[in-house]
Amino acid sequence: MSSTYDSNISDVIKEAAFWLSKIHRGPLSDEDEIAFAQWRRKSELHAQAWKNAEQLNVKLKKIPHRIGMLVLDRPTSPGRRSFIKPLALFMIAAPTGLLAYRLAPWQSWVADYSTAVGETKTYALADGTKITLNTDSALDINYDHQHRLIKLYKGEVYIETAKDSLHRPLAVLTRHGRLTALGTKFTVRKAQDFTCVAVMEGAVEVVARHSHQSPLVIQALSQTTFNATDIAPISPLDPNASAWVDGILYADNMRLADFIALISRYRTGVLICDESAKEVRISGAFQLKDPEHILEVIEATRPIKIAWRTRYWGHITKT
Amino acid sequence: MSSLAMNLMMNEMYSSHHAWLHGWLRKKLASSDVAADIAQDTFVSVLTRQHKQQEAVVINEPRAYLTTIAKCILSNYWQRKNLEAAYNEVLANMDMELSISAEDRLILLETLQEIDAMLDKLPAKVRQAFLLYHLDDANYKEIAIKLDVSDRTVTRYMAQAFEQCLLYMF
Repeated sequence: MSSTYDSNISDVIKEAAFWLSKIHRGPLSDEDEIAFAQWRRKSELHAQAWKNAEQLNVKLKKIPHRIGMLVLDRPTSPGRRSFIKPLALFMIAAPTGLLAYRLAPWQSWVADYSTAVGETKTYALADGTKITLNTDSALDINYDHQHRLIKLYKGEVYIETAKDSLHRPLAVLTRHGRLTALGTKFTVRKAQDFTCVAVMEGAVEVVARHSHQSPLVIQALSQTTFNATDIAPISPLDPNASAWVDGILYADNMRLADFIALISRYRTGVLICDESAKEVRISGAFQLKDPEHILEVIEATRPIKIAWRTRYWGHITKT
Repeated sequence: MSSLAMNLMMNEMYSSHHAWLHGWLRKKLASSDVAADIAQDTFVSVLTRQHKQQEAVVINEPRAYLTTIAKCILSNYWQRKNLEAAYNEVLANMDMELSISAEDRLILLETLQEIDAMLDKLPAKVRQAFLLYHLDDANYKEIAIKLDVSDRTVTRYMAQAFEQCLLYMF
């Protein structure tokens, strides 16, 4: 390998990197577009460099954001090599419950319908049913000539059923059981250990997966929680249970610990609430689309302080 | 150096120092097999370097030379191990109903290790900018605000990171 050839390669790579950084910044101007096309045609080496650049993009796109951030940007001490300690911190902190990593599904295990952290999406299905997925949710839809089945893997979904011309029942399945809609508007949220159902209109029938109890019907304006074996007593509907569909979070004298757990569903990273701060009360209506702003607002208005160890690792104490 | 001379030199180096290097690595690692692998990689790396130079490289202190290369390989090994531990920790907290196949798990681990190695030599802010862009959907303007630098600096950071990645790929 001669040195002139070497320096040529490194120059071409530098130029490819320059174009990549430019393209990712925003659309190229017409002039740049032409210059870029000319650059790619300059030689075999240029074309190859650009091929590699495209491969790199593909590779990066395949990384699920949540996993990628937690793994590649894990807290580290200044010497990059010696991150054993901060990693140990990760492991001790995990069982506290606040650290329930909710991971964006990756290509091959992606469900039919899914949302990233902080994202909501609404779909109109073929039968006229409308579904809205809350943050970090994933579900599959299986319609056949007898059933309308929605499998909720994680997160939360708001459903407005439509009358089906084929009279097929609409059911939602989670790991904990089956919910059958009886003409209705309702939300289903699957947490790690239980599923919540809140009914705004109509009624929903609940069957816990491993229970021999007869199905329980949840009427409008009520809600309940169930796991694979038990259904909790029915309680009145939280009037804000579907506020997230409109992108709003209502807190009415909510404990900070609960508030943070809620916010954490809408943002990447870890927030730890110190014992001293857990009972601080929060009230107000917040825009869910900007959880970082919510944190700034409560830090400015409530007696709390958020110390950021990294952008993804915050510690909340009472002041 | 002719390839014959190179082979002779490598043979000499291997027979005189391989056992010693393996012993040196064995003290740093719990597993003798891993020590053997890294010793092997070290010699392969020496050989590759010799080929690249295409000229006589006189190694005055073979053991110091070998340990320098071995340390570099060892440090990469620890970095990969460390990333793997963090990765397993993250996946262990994943919802099992969306569990991925063993194959996909491995592919993703390898991709992450590759990216980690690509970004390894970059300054912290450059690395941060790159991750924010690719894994946090931030645009250059947002990154500039977050890192408290100008837009132009972010573009420069991104070019720097892309360059490292492409160098690694070639």
